[in-house]
Amino acid sequence: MNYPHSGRFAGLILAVVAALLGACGESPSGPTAGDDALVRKYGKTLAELPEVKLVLISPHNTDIQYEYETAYARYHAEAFGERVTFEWRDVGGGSSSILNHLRNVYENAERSGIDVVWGGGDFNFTRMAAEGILHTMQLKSEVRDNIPDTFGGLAMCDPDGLWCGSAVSGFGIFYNKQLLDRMRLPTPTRWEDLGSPRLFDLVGLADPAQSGSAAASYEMIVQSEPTWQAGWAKLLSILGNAKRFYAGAGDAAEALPSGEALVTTCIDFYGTNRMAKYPETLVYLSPRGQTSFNPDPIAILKNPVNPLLAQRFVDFVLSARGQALWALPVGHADGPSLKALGRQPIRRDVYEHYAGELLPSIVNPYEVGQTMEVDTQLWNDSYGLLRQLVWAAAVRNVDFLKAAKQRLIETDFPPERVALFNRLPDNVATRERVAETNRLLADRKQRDLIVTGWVTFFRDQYRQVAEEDAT
Amino acid sequence: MEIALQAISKAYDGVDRPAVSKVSASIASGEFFFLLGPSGCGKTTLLRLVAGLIRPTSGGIAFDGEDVTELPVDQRGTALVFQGYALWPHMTVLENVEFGPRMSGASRDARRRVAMEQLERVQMAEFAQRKPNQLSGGQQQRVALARALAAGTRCLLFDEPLSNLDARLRLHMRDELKTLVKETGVTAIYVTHDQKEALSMADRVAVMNEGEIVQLGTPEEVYSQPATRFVADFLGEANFLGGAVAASGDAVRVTTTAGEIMVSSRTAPDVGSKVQCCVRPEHVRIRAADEGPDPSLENALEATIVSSVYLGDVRQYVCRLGDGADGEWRVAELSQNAHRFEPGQPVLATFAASSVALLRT
Amino acid sequence: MIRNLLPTLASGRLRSTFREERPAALVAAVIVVVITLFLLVPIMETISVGFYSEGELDGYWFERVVSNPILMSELGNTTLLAVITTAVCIVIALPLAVIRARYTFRGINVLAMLLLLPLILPPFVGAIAIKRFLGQFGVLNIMLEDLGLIDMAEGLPPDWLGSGFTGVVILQALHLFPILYLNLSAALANIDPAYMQAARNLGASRFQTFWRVTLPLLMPGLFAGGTIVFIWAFTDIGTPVIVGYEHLTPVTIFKELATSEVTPRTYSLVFIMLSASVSFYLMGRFFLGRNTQVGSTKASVAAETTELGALGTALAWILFGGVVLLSVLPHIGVVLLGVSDHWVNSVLPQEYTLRHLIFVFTSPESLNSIINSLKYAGIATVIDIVIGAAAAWVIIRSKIVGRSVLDGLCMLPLAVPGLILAAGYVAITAQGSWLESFGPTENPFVILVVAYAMRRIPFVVRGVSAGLQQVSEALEEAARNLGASRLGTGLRITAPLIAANIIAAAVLTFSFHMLEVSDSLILAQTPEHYPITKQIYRLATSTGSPEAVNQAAAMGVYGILLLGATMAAASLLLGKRLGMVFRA
Repeated sequence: MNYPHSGRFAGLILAVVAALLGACGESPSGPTAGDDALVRKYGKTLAELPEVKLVLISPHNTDIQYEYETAYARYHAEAFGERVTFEWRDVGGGSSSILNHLRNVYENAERSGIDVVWGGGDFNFTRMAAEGILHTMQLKSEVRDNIPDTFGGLAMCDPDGLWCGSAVSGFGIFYNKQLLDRMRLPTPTRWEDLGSPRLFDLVGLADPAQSGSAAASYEMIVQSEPTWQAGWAKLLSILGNAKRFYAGAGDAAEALPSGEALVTTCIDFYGTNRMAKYPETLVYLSPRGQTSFNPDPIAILKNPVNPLLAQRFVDFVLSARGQALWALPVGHADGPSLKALGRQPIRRDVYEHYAGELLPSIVNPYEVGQTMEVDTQLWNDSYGLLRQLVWAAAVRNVDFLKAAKQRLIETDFPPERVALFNRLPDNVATRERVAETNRLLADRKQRDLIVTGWVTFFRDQYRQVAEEDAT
Repeated sequence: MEIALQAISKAYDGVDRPAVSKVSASIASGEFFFLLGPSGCGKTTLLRLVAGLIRPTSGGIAFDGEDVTELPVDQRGTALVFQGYALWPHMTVLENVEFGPRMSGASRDARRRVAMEQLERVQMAEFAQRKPNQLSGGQQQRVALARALAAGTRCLLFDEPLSNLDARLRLHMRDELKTLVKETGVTAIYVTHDQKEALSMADRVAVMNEGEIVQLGTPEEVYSQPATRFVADFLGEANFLGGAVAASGDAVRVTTTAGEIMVSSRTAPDVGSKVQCCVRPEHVRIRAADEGPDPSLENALEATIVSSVYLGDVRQYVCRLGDGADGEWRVAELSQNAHRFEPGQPVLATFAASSVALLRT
Repeated sequence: MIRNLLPTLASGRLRSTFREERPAALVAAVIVVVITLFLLVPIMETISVGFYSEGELDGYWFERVVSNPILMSELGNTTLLAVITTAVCIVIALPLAVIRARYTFRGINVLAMLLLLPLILPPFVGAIAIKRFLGQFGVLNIMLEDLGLIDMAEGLPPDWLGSGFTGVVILQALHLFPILYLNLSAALANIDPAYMQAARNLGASRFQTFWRVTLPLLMPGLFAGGTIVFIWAFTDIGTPVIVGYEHLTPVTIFKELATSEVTPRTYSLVFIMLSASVSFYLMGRFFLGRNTQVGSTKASVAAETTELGALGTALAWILFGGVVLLSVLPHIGVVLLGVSDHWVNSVLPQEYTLRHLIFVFTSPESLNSIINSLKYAGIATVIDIVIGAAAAWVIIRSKIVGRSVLDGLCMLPLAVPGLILAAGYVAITAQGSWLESFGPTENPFVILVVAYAMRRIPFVVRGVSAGLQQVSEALEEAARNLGASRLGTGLRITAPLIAANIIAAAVLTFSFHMLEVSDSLILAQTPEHYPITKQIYRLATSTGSPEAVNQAAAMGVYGILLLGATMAAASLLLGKRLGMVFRA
């Protein structure tokens, strides 16, 4: 070994480290646009205005964060003469992690230091409202007039103003058209097509226990059949075609361009954004009349740091201009500055007001025939349960499920074996039992016993189906 | 510098026998003091205790009457020459030697001057800019010595400094080391397991065994008047014969199974006490049995030659005493002696009363 | 003579060895306190949840886990996976290490350095790249179809990723074999060639020599590296999730923790998993690798290496190059993703762009995350070096009682999955606790740095220990004897002598800090504090924008470049001894 060299090298490393640490001192500079109007009104540039801080927790992606941050900061500066800075909390993970986090926080303290919770499916917001960790919002009448209380059977806005939808999301089918064609496979247009034996082992799906949007899409698949049992059979035929269960709905959407799966289900804008990039290859479609549109809510958290600012931000998001930001292309005066967001506004009037100007992928959910009417009672009774049931029946047992499905395909679906395959555990065998069991799931010991029981039940059942002499 | 060790002990956790057990000794200023013993006898531990590299479990150490037991190693002011030299591979020879003066705060010029002085003293000045691994073993040894000397110590410590050198170089270095130490006038403690090194260089030798000093004296004393069988054995070959004291006083007589032995002992053992008589092989002269005893040597024991081996300068005989119950003696006769005895031949083993050492049993 | 000079000395004064080792004992105590506070307490905090039911201490949930045959069979499965992955790693690494030790050929140094690349694969984007290559409709199959080897119109192409258990083993092995390779190289370099020469001299064939002499001597290195690979495979979450093979305990824990309904059962499972990994670690340490501390034997003769001829060189290149190519496919994928504009249904991107690479520097968040990571990783590395070097010093140089306990404690983080540690930090900094202001929502700087530092202490302890073992203690004693203080000796003598070890350990530790996933995801919750891995995660899973994946990959490209350079530097510094860092 050559000692002097190591010494010199050490010096070099130190120098590099010092240089890097020096670079840390410089902070990135913020945007300074639109100063002229401010100077005229307040006699100050944006940087000179007093600063207020809005803290949000949200699973929304950085594009959404950036566009709303930019638009609102500009609006707020002009309207109120303050400079808003945004702090977006991320607790690692999607909407479930956010719910867990907030619950933990409010279990131990009266305040969370967060003003606004935004995005993640109405299920979580209903839970939060029930647990009393939301602050009542004052919604303007023009907002309430243009957002229905319920739509397609789903609540769009909390009657007490604890939360309100800020956008709606539809669910649809997303597929690699080029490869499906090359492989001479049919292109799916309806939910049931995803259960086709020809798509066995080709469908990328998301884990409903981790992804609220995936759970909602499964609920819709169930509800697209007249009975709970038939709905479950349809869902199970799709689950049985699963290639994989991805952690998030986004992973499932990304499985297409990366060549992992040929077909997935996903939220509309996940699909449409990718379709816009690869128009010849990838296709997103909304199964007409088979999907409802779910609200993507916004709410103010209990004991916010800055209630006034939080309320103003909510007002902005729900204003016509804030709503248009979801759906307009870049370049439009009210549109986003960098990237089109491609999401569905919740306000009815926006579709009319900006007709012809919205992105081509935006459909009007309020148009007749587009939307499925949801059975609200069943939705409420089964949504939480379905997440656990799908997790137990499919996610936790994916290999056994696939083996059973494969066996069914090989033996050309003998009715008795299909019946065995579709059989539900006693405690969810009927709609009534579902509602009953769903209530029991609130207790965590009960939940553990029930869900563990399901995992074993389905595993045994799939094993039987896959066995040669099962019929 | 005078060094005093008072009942010093060192025990390690989990080891039954202490490495050093209640050792007391005084080393005079300017003395070249040797610790001699087999490996594991505690001599290196004792040296490290003096240096302060380890602390005693009990007992104390004083330099010039001042208690240094609690003084940490870097403030003791000793200079140790390590067995493997411990020259720092990342420094040049000069930097190594400069280290001591640098630690005592000498200016750049001063320490360079001191270092070069010492390097010249050991004839290594021309290698000042080399790295240690570019030097031979002997050269490294000299640098290690220069490094110790440059520290300006009054107490040099040597831990088997010559053991890594080949035989010829070792002999040469013995003389050089002794001259050097005596020239500088420092007190020096030297640890070795080589009795020749100790006998040829030491002012005094402390023979150690199992953590204790068994005997302390000049080389002549420890060699010719060993206090115990261990010392006698360790310092070279020795012949033993057990017996009981028949008469004491100016002339001591010991009765053994092989005959009576006259001893001129400095001490007067009690009559009747059991003793061991020890005679070095080179002090025994063999005579043919029919020749009769040599009048100038007080003792003559009957013996039979067992074997005879030619070793160049000497011929070594092994002979059985009396009826053989007392074991065998080794005798070294200069080879040019006229007589040559054959195995089986009855002989007389003769030796002077003054060459017999009485050992405690 | 001078016996009376000692009137002041009270003879028989008792001093314990403790006093002599007081500095070591003090350092050890500080380290134990630090590890207890920042490692044990958070872990306890996490697993204790599993032992409470309705606010009372209770074994209910624990029993639920133990009596669950599915969970238990998964534990068995995980063990089996770790065993097989370790075995496959040995099969890959052993020939490479032996050839590297015995032969020289053109380009071996470059190839040997490339072998380290698998260790620095950026998270998430690495996984995405693997999927791109091995997905059922991914690059490999499209390539095969272009070559006419398969026809998608005739039937489904093979699903390489869907190979389940086998797929996990292969990907894990390709990721982890460098750890064993480094260990074996270090062990081979430390075996005195005279042992082998003696065997050959006594008539043993090359193979017999290897089998009867070299291999037994390699065992300590094999076990030391093997234990790390084993624990790594045992606690790995990323690879099984990529492959979609989920019958494994860590994956189950990860998935259950990610759901909205976490029950204490999950934490009971965490406890069982942690107990298992610690037990395996201890078994590896005390039964298998009993003599891992054999250390280096001084070579009495020079090792002889054979220069390979043209054919040999070609074969060696095929072997090394093949392994390198396979194991760096993900890296290639990351780079391609980072520069691709359009890439779907084709082997290579259809269009290229530098937009994503430039984006990293124009996006304040991305740039900021890189700076954050450099800051966190840099400080954590300094902490690791200080703690690790101090611990190594106590373990190697002192004789205090219980230093082997300290050693075990320092190695403990190897057996603790990052996820569990991170969950513990969340728990102790929860809102309302007095540590709240260090929590993820306030300023996670401190807990991030501490969590990073805790996780990688073992590597520094091992790296520095290896160095200290090679530096004769006499060198330090000589300096002390000549008047240098403890600190002075450390700085002037010890530090320069083990500089290479310290720098290599620092570089590796730094790299791992930069790549730290679970702590980063959970503990950094505000964008201004995101490290690079969290930013990559945010982008890679950013569902709205189809380009986010490419932007994430672009960040990964910079990661590979930076860490690749630091790795190369470490490898140049330490050469074959680099493996000393990866010992259990």
